[in-house]
Amino acid sequence: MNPELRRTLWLEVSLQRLWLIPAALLGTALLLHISNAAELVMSTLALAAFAAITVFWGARQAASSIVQEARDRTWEIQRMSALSPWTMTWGKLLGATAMPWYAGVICLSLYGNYYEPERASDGVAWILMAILTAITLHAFALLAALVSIHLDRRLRRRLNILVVLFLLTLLLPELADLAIPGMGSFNQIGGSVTWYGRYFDGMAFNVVLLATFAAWAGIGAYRMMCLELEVRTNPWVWFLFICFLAAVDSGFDVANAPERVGRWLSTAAVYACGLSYLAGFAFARDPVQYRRVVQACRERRYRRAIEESPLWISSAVFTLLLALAATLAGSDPTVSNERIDNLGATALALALMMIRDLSLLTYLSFRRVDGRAEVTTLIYIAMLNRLLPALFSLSGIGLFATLCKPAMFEQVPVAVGIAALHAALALVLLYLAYQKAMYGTNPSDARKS
Amino acid sequence: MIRVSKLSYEYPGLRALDEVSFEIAQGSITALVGPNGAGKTTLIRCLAGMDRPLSGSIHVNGVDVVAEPRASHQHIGYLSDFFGLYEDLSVRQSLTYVAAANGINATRHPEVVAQTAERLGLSDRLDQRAGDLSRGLRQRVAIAQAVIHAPQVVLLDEPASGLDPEARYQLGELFLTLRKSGMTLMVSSHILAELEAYSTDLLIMRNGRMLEQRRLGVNSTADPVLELVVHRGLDVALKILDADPHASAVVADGNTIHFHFSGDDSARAELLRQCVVQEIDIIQFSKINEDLQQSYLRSINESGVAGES
Repeated sequence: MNPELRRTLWLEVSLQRLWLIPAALLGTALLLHISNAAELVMSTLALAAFAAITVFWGARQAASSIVQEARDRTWEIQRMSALSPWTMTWGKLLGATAMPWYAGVICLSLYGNYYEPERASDGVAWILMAILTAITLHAFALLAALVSIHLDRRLRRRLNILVVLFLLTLLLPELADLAIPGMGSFNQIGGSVTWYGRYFDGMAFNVVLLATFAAWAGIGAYRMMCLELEVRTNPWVWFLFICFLAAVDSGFDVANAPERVGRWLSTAAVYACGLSYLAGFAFARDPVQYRRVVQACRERRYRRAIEESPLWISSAVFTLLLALAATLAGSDPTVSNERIDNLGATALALALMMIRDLSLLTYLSFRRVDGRAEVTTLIYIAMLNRLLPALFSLSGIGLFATLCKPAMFEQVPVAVGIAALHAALALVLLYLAYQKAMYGTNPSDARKS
Repeated sequence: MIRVSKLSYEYPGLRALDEVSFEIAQGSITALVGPNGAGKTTLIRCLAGMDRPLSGSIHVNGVDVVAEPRASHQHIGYLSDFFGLYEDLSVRQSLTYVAAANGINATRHPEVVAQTAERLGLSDRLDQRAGDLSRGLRQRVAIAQAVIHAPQVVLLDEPASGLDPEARYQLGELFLTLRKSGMTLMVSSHILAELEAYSTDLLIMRNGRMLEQRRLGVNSTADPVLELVVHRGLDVALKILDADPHASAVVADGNTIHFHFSGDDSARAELLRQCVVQEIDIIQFSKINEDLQQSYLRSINESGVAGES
């Protein structure tokens, strides 16, 4: 038996919980049944209970399986063990969520019992979707917890990543406008779905899509576990995930889309851009990690340099390559270039702006001015993208407004040029901050290096 | 057993380990000492494969720790200075878990757990909750977890901190037992008196550098250490020593001067004669046998003098 699974079961499973959970759930169901509650109410309540207990409590338990280890200082015992990252990942995922799943089985049994018999196939699909949603969220919670303990070790103060992402969607209007309709196309429940010109049953399509997302969440948790357990990894899985998202999104709405390779490249560049922001804000920004990359390059150990590279840098390089390819493929002039799949050179401008923002974030992290680099970066982004252009426009200084925030879709070559200038300036700042962070307080080290 | 070559580790603006190199023989107990911030904990964490160094190499029992940290864990037991235990598990469950997590076959778990518990004096505590144990017993459980898979190398960071004198003594006895069973130990500590009771080797660090490595009971150089205590004339004595080609590593502390002296008996007599001629009031002039504390302080002082010059 998986040692990690057994240990978590020792901690989670108790005789009291084993009888108390079914007693509470079945007792409530019995009470509602005696009160002649409608079958629809019963089935809805059972599904809601599954969402609350299995999905959300389970996600909390999955995250706690890591966070508590770090808090209790037992995580190092696990890091020193011979358990493989995969064994550790599924042992924690299954063991920590054992009781939520135990309750979930009862909830789904009640749901199945009260679901309309004439729509049994839909009922099965809903059950499958509920299970897959729970697995996805549990794996994602484990992944997020692994990222957060990484942050805790190095940067004690941190901002909730979800808040950052929410603010970013407000502050990066182009990216958000492009990506959010794209994400919306994943959510077509009921009816039929047209994907790459083929018709699929909406329920079945969503079940399969959720299953793939559950698999990706599991892979993500596993890769993060590899990082924690000092198993070296390359960012190719990250690139593959970007390609997967683009491939899924490109399949929708084919009828109105330009039929070119650039369609996929453009979509991929936008997703790569968004995920680069995620990587930049979520992971710790430690100048020592950059120093190790520089050292590996000096020693011509390029594979090691890639392994040591911060994820946002690998992601940004991949985004630039995709954006360059999308630029070369060009955009279809008969279709709006504000579509996610028809950006052409605008993809390059977006990628360069992303490099500017994340370089700025890393620069502020290295400077350690107030320990809240994320918030400060968001304020700078708000000023550059919203406040200053508005002020300059109102003052009639249109040139300065354009220099702050070029017209991404209207004057594409100018936008690319200005974005490149922004990115170059931010990279220079980042380089100076890196030099200061690594050698600023100990001149003898600078001599050595 | 442990071979470290040009190991460097950096924190922002600080080189915590500066091209540290040393080798440690099998079956030794090495006392790793140095002032706070010397780099002891960083060194131990790098040796255990818990932190990635900037450059350099570490080999433990032939395994490259930097390249294959997971593979090296089979050969290493590690106790962090701030360790934790699974408070809600019994000692037996904790040890069984660690045995399984280290790849020991399930059929051997009861035997291995019993053996380790006996070795650590925990046999009568196996069914007690780890969270209910005293500080000393918790330390033992943590060490039991670190050694249950019979590693060749055991790294212990400040294992005696917070223990009462009796528990510290028992810990020393335990280290000797582990050594007898063939393990190689590296123990970082501030409590030099205890280290002296069981250590076979000494490694002194300061400012991320290795100051001295030697076997205990054998001086690091062939030159004996002499002690000169004066009532008056310290400055003159220092000038004489400075001019004497046989004297080196001269360190003054109050009215006492320690220095290495490479000359023979006649050279030593000549030195004493010069001091008398210069009318220095000598209270004591003798060869000293250093204990660990003195040896440590001398190395630290010498490095301070070297650093200042």
